[in-house]
Amino acid sequence: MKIKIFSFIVGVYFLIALLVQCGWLSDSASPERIVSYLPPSPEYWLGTDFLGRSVLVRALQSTRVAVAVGLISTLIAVTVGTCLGAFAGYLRGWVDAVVVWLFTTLDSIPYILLLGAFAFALGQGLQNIFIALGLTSWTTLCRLVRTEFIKLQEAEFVIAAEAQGLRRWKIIFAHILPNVMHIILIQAGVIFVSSIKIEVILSYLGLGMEPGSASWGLMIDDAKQEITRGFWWNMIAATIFMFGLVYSVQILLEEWRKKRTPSS
Amino acid sequence: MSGFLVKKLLSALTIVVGVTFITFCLFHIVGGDPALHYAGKNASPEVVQSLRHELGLDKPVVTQYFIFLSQAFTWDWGTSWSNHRQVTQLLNDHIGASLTLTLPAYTLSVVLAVLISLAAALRKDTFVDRGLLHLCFILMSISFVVYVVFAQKIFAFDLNWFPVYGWDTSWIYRWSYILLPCFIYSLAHLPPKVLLFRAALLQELEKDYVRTAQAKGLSTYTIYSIHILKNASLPIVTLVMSQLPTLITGSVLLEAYFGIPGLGGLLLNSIQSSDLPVIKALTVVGSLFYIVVQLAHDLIAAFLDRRWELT
Repeated sequence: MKIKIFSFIVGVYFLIALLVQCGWLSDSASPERIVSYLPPSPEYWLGTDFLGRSVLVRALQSTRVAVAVGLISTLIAVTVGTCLGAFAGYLRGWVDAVVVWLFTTLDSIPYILLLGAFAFALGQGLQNIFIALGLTSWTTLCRLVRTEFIKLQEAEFVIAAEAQGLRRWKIIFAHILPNVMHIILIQAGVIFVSSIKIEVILSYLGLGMEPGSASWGLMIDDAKQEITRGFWWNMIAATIFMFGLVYSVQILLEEWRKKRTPSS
Repeated sequence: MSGFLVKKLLSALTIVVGVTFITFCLFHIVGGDPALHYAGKNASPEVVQSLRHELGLDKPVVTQYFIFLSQAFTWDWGTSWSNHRQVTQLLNDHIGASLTLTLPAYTLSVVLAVLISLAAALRKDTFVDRGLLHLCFILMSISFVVYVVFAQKIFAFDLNWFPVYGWDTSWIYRWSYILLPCFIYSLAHLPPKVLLFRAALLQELEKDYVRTAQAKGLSTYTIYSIHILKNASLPIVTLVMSQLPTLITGSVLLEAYFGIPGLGGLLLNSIQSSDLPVIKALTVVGSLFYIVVQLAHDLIAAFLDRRWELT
């Protein structure tokens, strides 16, 4: 039941993101009557911001950036982490040495510095956020996948597959990988959540989305000055919209984890 | 033991080289021409050219990398591009402020996390445990930025309990500026730690020695405080050690927002002004601290448990 409710909420977010991507809400600006800082009213449910834009529409539009960052960064991180972890764990030897060296090195750079370096080198913008987040958050997954592959390398079904003379890539991807999938899925959820949270912080710091685009981080950045003057709705809207998505995914992850290990 | 030491030292050395290599590649190759970054979009080609020469960016890339590598080993990071001060001096000036914020804040959050996770694990699957667990998830779903903005608004602006912004050069008056950021830091970093420590404690809970202790008739309190906490301390220590280096770089958000002159604020300023030597130095210094702490952790672990040498 819990899983159904929260899956539904996440689904709604994905749907909003897809609709915004397809052009919904894009022509909402009505330049003839701009009133800044309108409090919430029946016409503007969550009020307006300093440029007279509807805060509700802004928050909905920001869903696109959040979902896109979550999905695409996770896709990059999962692909890189899984492939490197699988090759290192199965092939061992120099491949393993190089991969281990790579993720130990990346892990040695404190995350905020690594991310700051990537964000600086690549600049602002959605695509650069995908790359920066994707290329910095694969190391934990890679460690886990590598350990599992080393363990499973000695399993009987792998020895049987090798004895049949199957190709290496087939053993890695068709035989061992499905047995590691549950770890990858959980870790993908963790990366999804952290990507969304980090995008908000990066945008807030001016290292993420360009000013003017719709992002919860930028809304909070706008709101930090407004809030001392009593205009709280921009802030509240961004916080609640982000909360709904992040909280739902976290609860789903926890439920999945419980299913795998019923004791905890 | 000495073989283990040599092995660990050698691998640490390769990681230092790796860190400098990745940092260098990011700034000098992925990021495009650093002189263009620094000069800005509207600079004329002549200006960029003269800057390139002035900053030593017209040397071959390999030479530049070795200059950078030698900087890491001699601890002389050159001069900042934006204010022409020695980078080493800049680091020394800012590190104190970062540590005055992060050290007490981090200690507070670890102590609180251990106590809360113990309280939750002791009442596993009760109303209290589930409530705490959900509170953690709720708190983790709100952006760190929001905590900072709201706490400043409520406790500094409205209630006037703390100063809104600022810093004092004397240690005695500094604490009033530190208190609020310190509380925000420890509270915002509390929930993930509680979840992790709780999981570590519960994992121990299932082991045979706990059942033996229960069968012997020991009280729950004794089992938790003596047996389980001792065995669960290794993952907790590992986590604490792995996060120690982040304390040196401080908290970018808090320092920028409360005007604390620490390394985090320095990082943000140098990113905004494209001050490459400072960003590179910060990245490598942060990593060096991590590598040293990790090395210390491995040695301590090997000293406590000889099996560690096999890893």
